[in-house]
Amino acid sequence: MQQNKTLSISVLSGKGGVGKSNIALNLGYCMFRGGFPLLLMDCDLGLANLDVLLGIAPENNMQNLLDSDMDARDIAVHIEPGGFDFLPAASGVPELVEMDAELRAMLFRKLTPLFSRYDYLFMDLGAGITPTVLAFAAMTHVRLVVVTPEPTSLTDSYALMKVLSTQHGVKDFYVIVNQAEDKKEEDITFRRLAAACDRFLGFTPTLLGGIRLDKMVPESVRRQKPLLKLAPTSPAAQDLFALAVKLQRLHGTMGQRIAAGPFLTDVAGNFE
Amino acid sequence: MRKTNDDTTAEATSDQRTAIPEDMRDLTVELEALQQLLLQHSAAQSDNNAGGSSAPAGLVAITRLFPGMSIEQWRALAESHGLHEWLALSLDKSSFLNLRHLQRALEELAHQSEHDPLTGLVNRRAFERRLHMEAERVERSNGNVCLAVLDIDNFKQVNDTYGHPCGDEVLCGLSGVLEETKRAYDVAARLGGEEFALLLPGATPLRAKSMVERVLHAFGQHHFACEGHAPFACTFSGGVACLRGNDSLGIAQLMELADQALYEAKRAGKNRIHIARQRQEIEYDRSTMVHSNEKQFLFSGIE
Repeated sequence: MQQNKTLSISVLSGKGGVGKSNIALNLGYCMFRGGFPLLLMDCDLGLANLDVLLGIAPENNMQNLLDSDMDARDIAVHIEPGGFDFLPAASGVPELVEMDAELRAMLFRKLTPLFSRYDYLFMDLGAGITPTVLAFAAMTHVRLVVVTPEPTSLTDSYALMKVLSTQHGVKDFYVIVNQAEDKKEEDITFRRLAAACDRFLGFTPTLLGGIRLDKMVPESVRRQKPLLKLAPTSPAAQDLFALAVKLQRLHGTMGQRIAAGPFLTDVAGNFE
Repeated sequence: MRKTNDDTTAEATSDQRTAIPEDMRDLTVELEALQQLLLQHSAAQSDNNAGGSSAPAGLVAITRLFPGMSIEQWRALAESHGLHEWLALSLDKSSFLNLRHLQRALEELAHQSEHDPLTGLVNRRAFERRLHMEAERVERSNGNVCLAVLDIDNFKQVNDTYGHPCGDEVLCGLSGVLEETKRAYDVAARLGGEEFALLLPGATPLRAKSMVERVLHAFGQHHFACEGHAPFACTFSGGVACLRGNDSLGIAQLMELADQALYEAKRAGKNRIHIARQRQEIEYDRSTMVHSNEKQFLFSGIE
């Protein structure tokens, strides 16, 4: 069996509007600049937005895989030459949000030939605790849970982790605290979430790091450019870069485990 | 007459389809239903005969008169609907008239046996047949169907106060509202006396309740003016019970549940719809639910 080198990472949050897509995009951009080819997948099926953040209007998307004979390699868009590829999803298609296990398996059968080209697979998941979000999150090697200091963001991400751990047996999560005013707020936010997980769910998530509140972030969204390209020295860009470095280290330490298994693991029968 | 079926579902070209006049649509629907039924029958027959010696073969001709159709038109119809195994016979004037008379009599009898003469709604017998068909469909397709049983409030009082002809007007009034308000594929029936029923395929209990409440509202707007009396309005009470594909409820139990819900609606003060208390067969997983003490802990660190 061919050895797998691709690390799959899902970015999730429970609550919408906490910066998931932007984080997935910029972490991906960091990897690309570091010389690691990656595929950024818009897995917010039905309400896709990454194309907007990238300032592109892709002709095809994952929906085409389900209703035509198209090859996944023809759907992927090259954002930057040399290994920054993007797989768009459809917007306004409610059927995709409610994908069942059979349809998911079909989608991933078609996507698998594409995956091996990359070092990283970033999956930007939708908000909510839909079966699609749960199944995708359970399948990846690494789960990045994005929270903001807002109480509703805390409860939503906690609820998501609770469902994933009780229903899918997933108990390892990396937390990213986004939009924190300062280090102190970042600490409080993470510690509250970690303490509740420890107390009620029986596991402690790991803090991957924080991203400071930075007015250049909305600016990069308006300009439809990755923050790390537009303002690489801004505070949030530096934080994102630090997170990317940590993920690379993680990739190194997980090397053995990844090599033995598939790109995505079948947890609780969600993937074939 | 019908011979062996080789399952030819003819793909009709669009111009052949357009060759069928509008007024023959009903006939094609009827033919398709009959074809389906005969297909099921012949499948059941061959199941029964499997392994056995040759069964005594019956021979039956199924005849349906259709005035106003020429042999040429039938040919076009047979072509477009894959009815090649059906035989069409042209009738001369005298035999046609006699047979037509017979057919009319049959149609009238068939209608009478399935409909309530006063309101024109289907009667209990026909309703129960539809209910059985619907229950079978629900089981096959794992869908659901709701049954609503309605009973006009204080109907005896209406009869006593305003007289029986006026009572009949109220009964016809409700049947009119039912016909107007229901969806095309719902079935409205008069079960007897002042008791009516509505069969709502595909409806969930809450949806069924709101649909029947719409009927109740429309009925309440109706004012009956009977000779020598001031106009008055009537209400009814209703009980709703539902059948889901995965539950083991029988028709009799479904009727009983709807009747119980109706009784409760009457006891609660009439002029309302109650949903039967049925065991929820699908239970959701409570283990994933976030409880208030967990939220409390998230926000304050204290339980």
